[in-house]
Amino acid sequence: MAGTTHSTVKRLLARVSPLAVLSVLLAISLGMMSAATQNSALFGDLYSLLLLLNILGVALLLTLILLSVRKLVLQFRARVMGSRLTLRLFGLFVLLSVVPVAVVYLFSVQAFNRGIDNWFDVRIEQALDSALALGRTALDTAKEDLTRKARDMAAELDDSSRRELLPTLNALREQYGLFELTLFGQDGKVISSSTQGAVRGKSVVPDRPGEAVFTQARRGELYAGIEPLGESGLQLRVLVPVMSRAVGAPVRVLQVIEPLPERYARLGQNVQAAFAEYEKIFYLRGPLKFGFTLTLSLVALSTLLLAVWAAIYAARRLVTPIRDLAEGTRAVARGDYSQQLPVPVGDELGILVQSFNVMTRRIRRAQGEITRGQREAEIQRTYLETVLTHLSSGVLSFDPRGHLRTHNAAAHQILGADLVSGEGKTLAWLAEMHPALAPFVNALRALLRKAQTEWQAEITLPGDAGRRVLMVRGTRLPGLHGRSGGHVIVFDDITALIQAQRDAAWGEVARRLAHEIKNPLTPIQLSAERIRHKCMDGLPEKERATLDRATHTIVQQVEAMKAMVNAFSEYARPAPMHIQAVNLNQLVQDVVELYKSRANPVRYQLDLDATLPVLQADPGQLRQVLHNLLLNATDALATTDNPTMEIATRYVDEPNSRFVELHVRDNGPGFAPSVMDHLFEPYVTTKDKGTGLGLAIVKKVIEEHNGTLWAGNLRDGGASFTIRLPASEVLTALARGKTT
Amino acid sequence: MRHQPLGMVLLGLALLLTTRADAANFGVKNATVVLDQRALLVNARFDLPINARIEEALSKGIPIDVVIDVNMVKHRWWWRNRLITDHALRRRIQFHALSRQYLVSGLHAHEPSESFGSLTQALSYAGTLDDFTILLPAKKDIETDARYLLQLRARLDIEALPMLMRPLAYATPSWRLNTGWTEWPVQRTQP
Repeated sequence: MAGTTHSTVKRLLARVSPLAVLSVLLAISLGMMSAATQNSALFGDLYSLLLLLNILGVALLLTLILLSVRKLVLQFRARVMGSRLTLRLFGLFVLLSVVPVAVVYLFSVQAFNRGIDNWFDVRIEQALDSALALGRTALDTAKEDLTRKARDMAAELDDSSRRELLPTLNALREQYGLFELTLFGQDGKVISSSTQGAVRGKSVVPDRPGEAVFTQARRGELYAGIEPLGESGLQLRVLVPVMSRAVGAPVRVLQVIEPLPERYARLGQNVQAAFAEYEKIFYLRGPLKFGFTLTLSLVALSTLLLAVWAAIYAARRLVTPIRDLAEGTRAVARGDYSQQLPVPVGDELGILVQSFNVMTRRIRRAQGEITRGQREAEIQRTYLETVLTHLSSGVLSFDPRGHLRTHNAAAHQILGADLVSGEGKTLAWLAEMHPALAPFVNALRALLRKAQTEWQAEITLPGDAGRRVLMVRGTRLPGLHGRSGGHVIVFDDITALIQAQRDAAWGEVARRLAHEIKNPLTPIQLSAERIRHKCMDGLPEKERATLDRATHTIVQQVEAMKAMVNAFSEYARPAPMHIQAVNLNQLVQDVVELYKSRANPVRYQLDLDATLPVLQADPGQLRQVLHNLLLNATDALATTDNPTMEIATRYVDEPNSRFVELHVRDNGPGFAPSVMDHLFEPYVTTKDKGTGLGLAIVKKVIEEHNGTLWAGNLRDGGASFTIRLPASEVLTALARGKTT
Repeated sequence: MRHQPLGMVLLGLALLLTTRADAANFGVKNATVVLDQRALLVNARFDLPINARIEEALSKGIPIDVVIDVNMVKHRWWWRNRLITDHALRRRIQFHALSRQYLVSGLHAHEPSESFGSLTQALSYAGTLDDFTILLPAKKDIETDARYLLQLRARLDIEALPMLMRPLAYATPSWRLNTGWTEWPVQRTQP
């Protein structure tokens, strides 16, 4: 607490100090000046200095305030936050302070001006004038008296010889009871002098008149004057020319000096002093008014300026927290919650600012939590996405309104549709963009409409690469408040699985058939041969020929059936594989070369990729595959004009998979829709001869090599086979194949 | 030299405030200065005209102080002159109403004041230096081949006026009477 008080005081001092010190000095200086104005004994000597200091102080204060006001105005123009309020408060404070000070000032000036004028009373002035006149009259009487005496003495002296002068002067002085008699020559030199003091043995130096006075007397004119003597004395001085009766004699001057009696002199001086003082004061009333007005003006001005300064200070101090608050609020609105405002001491604004600080702290904490939550959700989502991406099953999720929300790469791959652009769209969009998926979409729609929480279905999709079967499982998601939260649909392409099952079943059938059929065939054949052998000779020619033909047919057909059964069992039995490095391009060229003959009208177009890697595979089996495909195509092209076959290899290097593709296309009639579904099943054939195992073996070999194949019709007519052998997995796949 | 720097400041301030120069100002009529041994003998006549405003103040009993500043400096062409001695002689002129005389106090405190029947005489007396002797301070050396100058100035001392009149006097040109500094060569007696 002591610390905060200390810091508050320090801050206050730091802000206030320059102007406060100036103000205090100004106040002291004004006080001294005021004291000097009222009583010149106090600081009278310093008056001018004080005046100058005060004017400079006021000027300095004015400058500081003008600078502050200028800053305020500039801030206002720059639209600095809070400047408008500061200026308004400042204006209000100034108005509140200026008006009373101005009123008091004007009344004071008027009041003391009138007061000073009232000091001076006409009657006193008249009395003093009268006293002075009375004094002068009294002195004039004494002067005239002395002048008469001087004239008399001059008359007595006019023909005194030089030798008699001093005794005569002494005698005259004694006779008239005077203080000093002096006789001057025309050149101004003292001829003779008699002084009262000289008799007593004191100063004998006569008092010389002024040059002008002496000149006047020498010209024959009389001079009579009263002269102040020292502090409180007065003396009468009379100069009269002494005319000689002798013509041409030089003019001499007699000077008579008579001090006034002490009492007269004192009274006279009193009157003089009082009159002079009154006159002086009367004269000085103008400057006095001016002085008072000046002091008062300075006081008023400095008070005013201090008030203005205080107004600026108070306005700033009041507005600062408000401005801080406004800026803080702006910052919060911008999303910056790190704002902590300095808390002003004590008042309601302080509480407001404190509340603001608490608020921003809380918002920041809440914001932090939200961000953390979002990050966690993001991590969850990423995790889920990763899982989804690496699922081999396709996953789609729909919101309650049937808009696509989530999908994974497997879904994309299985459906062959770009689902990224379908996010937020309904199933209708999917059907629109990918007409091939219409059965899937229709089936899904029907299923989604059901109220069941879980369901499962198989959906068949037609396509270029053959029909595909999707196993679809749907789950209704739980939503908020018991409502539906949408659906999750998981689907797998089970075409291969079904095919494998079918293949396995066929294998089993073939094996059993072979076993079951093969057993009776030999007895049938033997029996037929035996019948022939036994009955041939006993029969007539005609029947013999018939028997021969019939038994021959039986034996022949049994042989054919045996061969067929052997082929079936061959197909059903897994063949041993001999893995080695195979150049597919070379293999293709070798096989195609065998088919190029004059008898064969088919034109072979090879488009082989030179970058094809060497495969690890069983060359014999691959050769078999090629033979089967080429045979198949050659047979299909038998009725086609200008028969052409395209064989192409291609190396595909994708981020997740690297594989080698083999395309075999012809321009024949293509596959009939009825056989499309069972193309690779054994015993499916459209030809008159053949076991119907060709394509089944192709499929088997490719699958044993871990590859995939599909067949389809070209748009321009003709059949197309695509075989895909994984390049990177060849080795491992074949190794596995070897062990089985 | 009392309050002289301050006076100068105020004078400057006042000159800034008012531009009109007064017609009748103090002036130096003539001056002769003789250096005899270590004594400086000054004879000078100042012309001290006085305007109606000051005359009125005098007649109302306000004493007017005329200050004559006497400086002796050694002339230095390459730098500011070196001050040898400085004196300020003050003469106070005052009106004595009872006797209608103008009193002029002496140059020195012990000298009695002279009284004059007219102001012209009083001013003439106040503006006259007759064989005014200044003894040079012993510390300062007088060089035989150096050039010495006497600086003279007569001015009305506003600071000596009654306190209340000073601000106005500083602000009014008619009160600011001053000869300004004048320089006079110091002659030497033949040894």
